[in-house]
Amino acid sequence: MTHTPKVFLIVYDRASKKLVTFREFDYASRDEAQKERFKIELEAAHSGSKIEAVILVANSEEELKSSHSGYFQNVTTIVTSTSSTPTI
Amino acid sequence: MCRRPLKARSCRSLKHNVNLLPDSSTAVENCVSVAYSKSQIEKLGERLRVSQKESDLRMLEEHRLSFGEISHSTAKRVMELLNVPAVERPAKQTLSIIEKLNREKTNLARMQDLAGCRIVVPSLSDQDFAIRVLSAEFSDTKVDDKRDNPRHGYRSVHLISKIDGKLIELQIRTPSQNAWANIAERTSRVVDPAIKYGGGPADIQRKLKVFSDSLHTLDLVYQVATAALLAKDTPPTALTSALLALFPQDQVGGGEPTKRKNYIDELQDLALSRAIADGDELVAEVIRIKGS
Repeated sequence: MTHTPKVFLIVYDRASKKLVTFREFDYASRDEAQKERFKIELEAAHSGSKIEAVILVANSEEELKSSHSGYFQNVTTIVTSTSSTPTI
Repeated sequence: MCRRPLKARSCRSLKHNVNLLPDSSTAVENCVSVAYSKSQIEKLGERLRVSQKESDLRMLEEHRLSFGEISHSTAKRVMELLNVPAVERPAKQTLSIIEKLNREKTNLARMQDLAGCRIVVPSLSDQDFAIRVLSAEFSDTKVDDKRDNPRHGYRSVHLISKIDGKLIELQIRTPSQNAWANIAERTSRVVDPAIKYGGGPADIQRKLKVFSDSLHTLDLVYQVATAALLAKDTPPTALTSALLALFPQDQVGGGEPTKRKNYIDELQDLALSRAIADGDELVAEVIRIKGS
């Protein structure tokens, strides 16, 4: 498997319950992404905002959205894409 | 996703390039890591519990950056060994670290999930295989298997590997486990953050746990079907027999044999739907045999 990763900055605002930033960086710009993530975290700490800022590295946006669908899809969408079983 | 069993690639030693500098006031700006003593990190964690001064947040950032190269080379090696995508998270977010410090009274220097990666493998058998391969590759590894004993419904396998002195968390999930975890996370964000840790509305907790059990059952059925596929001399009734053994009379269907049989038939139909949807024709064929 060829490893050509992309770097993704994800920022989620707990107050508005919304994804406020989703930005892709080339792997070569990983440091820039980390700096941006930390800048957002510092600002949130100063303002007392409940902000989740994280960097994830994946081969593609599709892989990222599959493994971390909780950031991108609502529960109904996740459930409908998952098999269900009867209750014992 | 085609659920083919995983095969290991040849093992080579993992090389890490860790950028450790003794000290730098501009470490964060330059995105380089700084080596702090265990005691310094423990004390930092104690301070962060009560307040988040900018100087401490910068120190935390420097500490996290020291995991970067190891985290990346580990994720890369996991992909080479198992031939599955690994999504790397090089640094746990500040908010989560502070909440964990307050929730679990844990020690920052011993926090096991500051960096790591997540893989999703086709089945429970593949999870077992991944545990064996990764434990052999990363010799100093502790296995945290939450499949039979889920934590608030959360099922997964976490490997905590000590690599070049850093703890790296490797999350191994099946598609069912991953879907459940993302549903629980999404629900926590929208309804109540406590849900993820066993709190929040009781009815939501109950539903999530029932859903987790149901998905785990489907994983078990899939495992049995895959095992039947691999055993070439398996008689056509083997799958049904194995499922009857998997779901004892006293645990399924309230003691009524017909109800249990119907339940198992339903599970097999669902497993067949899943195999067809995944394009896994061989597993689908094994499941079909049960009806012949």
